[in-house]
Amino acid sequence: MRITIPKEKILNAILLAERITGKKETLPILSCVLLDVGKELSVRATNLEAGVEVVSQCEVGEKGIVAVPAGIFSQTLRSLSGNTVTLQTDEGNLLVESRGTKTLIKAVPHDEFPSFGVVDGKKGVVIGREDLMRGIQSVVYAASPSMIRPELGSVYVSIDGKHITCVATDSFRLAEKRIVGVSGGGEVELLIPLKHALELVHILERVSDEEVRLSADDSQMIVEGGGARYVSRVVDAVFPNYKEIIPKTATTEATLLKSDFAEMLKKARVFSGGDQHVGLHVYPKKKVCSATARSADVGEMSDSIDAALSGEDIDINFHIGYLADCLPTVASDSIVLSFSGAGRPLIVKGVSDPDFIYLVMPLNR
Amino acid sequence: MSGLRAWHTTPMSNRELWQNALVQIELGTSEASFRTWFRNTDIASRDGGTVQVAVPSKIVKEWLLEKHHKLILKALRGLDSSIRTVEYAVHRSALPAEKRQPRPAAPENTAIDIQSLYIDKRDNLNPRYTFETFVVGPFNQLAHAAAKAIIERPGLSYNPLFIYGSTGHGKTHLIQAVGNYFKKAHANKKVLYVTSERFAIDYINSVRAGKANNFKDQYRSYDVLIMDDVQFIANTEKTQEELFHLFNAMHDNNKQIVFSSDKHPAMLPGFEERLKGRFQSGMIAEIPEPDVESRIAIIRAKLESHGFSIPDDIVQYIAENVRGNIRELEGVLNMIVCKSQLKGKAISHADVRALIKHNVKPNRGVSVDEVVRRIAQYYEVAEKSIYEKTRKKEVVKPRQIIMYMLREEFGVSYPSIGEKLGGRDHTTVIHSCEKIKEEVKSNTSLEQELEHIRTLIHA
Repeated sequence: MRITIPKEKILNAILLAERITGKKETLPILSCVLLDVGKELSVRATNLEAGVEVVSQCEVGEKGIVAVPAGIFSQTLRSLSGNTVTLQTDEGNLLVESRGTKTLIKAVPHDEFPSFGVVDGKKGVVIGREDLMRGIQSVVYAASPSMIRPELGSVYVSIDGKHITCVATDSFRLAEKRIVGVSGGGEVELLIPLKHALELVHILERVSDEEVRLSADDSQMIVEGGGARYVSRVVDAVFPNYKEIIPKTATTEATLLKSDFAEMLKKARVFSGGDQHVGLHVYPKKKVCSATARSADVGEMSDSIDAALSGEDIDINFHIGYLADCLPTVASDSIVLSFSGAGRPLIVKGVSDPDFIYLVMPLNR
Repeated sequence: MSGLRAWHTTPMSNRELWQNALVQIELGTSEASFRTWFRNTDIASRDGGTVQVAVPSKIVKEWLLEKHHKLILKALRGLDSSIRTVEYAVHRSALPAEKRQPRPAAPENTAIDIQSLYIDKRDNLNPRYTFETFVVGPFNQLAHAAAKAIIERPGLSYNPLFIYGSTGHGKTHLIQAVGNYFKKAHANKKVLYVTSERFAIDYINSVRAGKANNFKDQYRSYDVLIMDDVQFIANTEKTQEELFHLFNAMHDNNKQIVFSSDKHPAMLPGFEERLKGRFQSGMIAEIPEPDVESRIAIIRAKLESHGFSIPDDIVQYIAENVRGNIRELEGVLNMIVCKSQLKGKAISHADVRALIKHNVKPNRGVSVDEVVRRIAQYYEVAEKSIYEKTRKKEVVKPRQIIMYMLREEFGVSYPSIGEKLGGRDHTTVIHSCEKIKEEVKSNTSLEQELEHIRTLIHA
């Protein structure tokens, strides 16, 4: 194998691939990236749960395949000063040359490298790269970090014709983002485990194409676009009918500036103590909207902000992190807090944003 | 290996088979490759000559198929020559078990009631109940096979299918699995799962609202009707009549009907004969108490779904000591999982023993006098006449039933039954037991009596 390629190009490909390599795998090949040169360069890596392939154009001198440890290869590339890199195999090892620097990296036998992610036919949907990325990013923090309940440790993605709906819940809060006016079409429904969802976002951020193709079956999904292909396990489970728990009517409503609310929570967080508790107090008749936090070790605080209020008086406690988590994803400057009484969920929405909804359960005291 | 096989009187369980196969596979591969590719694999199912191997991801599936298929097939065939093909399937249960304890969720935070959200409002089916999660053992094999048969040819093979058994033996799981299967396999078929109580309430409401016809039309529109716990509409004349007509309408159109109840249809009190007859016109399958091996399999499946594992000897201990109801078994397991998470370390044999001791009702020993007293009371004969040599007809029958019960329910030996009931010969006891056993087959009222007596003496 012999190729010449711009350094930036190969480094980007390797950095994407390196994240997917198996860290603690018993099989040495799984901590490697595979460089497969045909008409172009294909860089592949897998940890058996997920796999990634990045295809880059390059000047091909000779075809061939080689597998080298990802960490060593990426460090080598980073330290090179030249703008172009020449890669060639030398007695089975990889010789890396760039403006006077010569490095020989010991290769690992590549016949043990697993194949992954074969797309069957033309199935799948074509969707906007940013749409998918934004959808997942808007909800992913609400997924459970544990896979004991696989459906709660995953992000639910449903694509039907014109919408993408992304939902995640850890049973204490739930985030739903709908993106309408999606380009492309087709229907698909899948549950992406949290860590693969985060990885997918990372890759989508670095892909240049405007559209990606997503296909899935019961056990895996494949996202392709811009020369990259990401394959990961999906969860074969049923996502709860979450729509049922979203309260239809509110007993108390508060409309306020997102930045005010975020500021108030920031002040409260200092005094929220180890339990991270914050109390919200909304008294429409007295025109009061305030938050209190108290910690036995630190002290206590209360803060009130301007808000348009309606409905009944309410005092209710929340986990402060659960409240604050959603704020960065709300697009509009003003938000509506809709309470539905003690022990019932609070709904957070942007005033001008009907497509994002966040539900958070209160503390039960 | 064939010499060894001869010692196995029962076929190897899937787990044993796979463990033994792995030993051979390990010899044929490098250690690193074995640990990478065969970690978290298991046999998902075995159906005749086909073995399905559960693997954690599609990448592993393709690799095994490509590189190790011959080795796997050879190892399995060496253990069981009836195996012809090996398939691979990505399985949820084959996921790597989570080692890290998840961060404890804020216990004081109200949680969304997720459990109830899984139930589909259109057909009342809970998607968690599927055939994949249903553990099949010798005790429920028949019921499972019957359920599988009806999903092959709905409405034609066995219609209706009637499943009966005590509470907690898996009736609801099985019949809901049938519904879920239909739902998944035939998107155009309308399935309804309903408890008999719900059916009765629906009917009463529709009559009250003067919309009985709507009710009829609505229920007749389903392609598959699954009615759970049918015993609860005993003594409801009109509801039963409605069910009778619904049954006929569906049956005539070859639409599948599935019932479950806690008793054999012939034993159901408070039901019209014609309805009982309909219940019995298809296939009747019992789900009796699970045997020890099945309980072990169930415990393992439950633990897997919790992502939790405990040593085999403890599994064995639980299976042997928590008898009967699967729900009870589940309760004990939940306690064990919870306790070990609280303590943050693996649970010991002694812990389990203590847990079981405190939480499970012991299998009560028998007092012969007590049984005699209760049965004599039931038949309204003097207790002491049982012990006497009298051959009066009204005493002979209760006495025979006492012998039968002592033998069947408590496993008391024939000679000691004879001895305790006034010094009778053990052959007399054998004769009595055989006689009742024979009679019960043809005499349903006797069977009902025995059922009543059973509840009396176990109370």
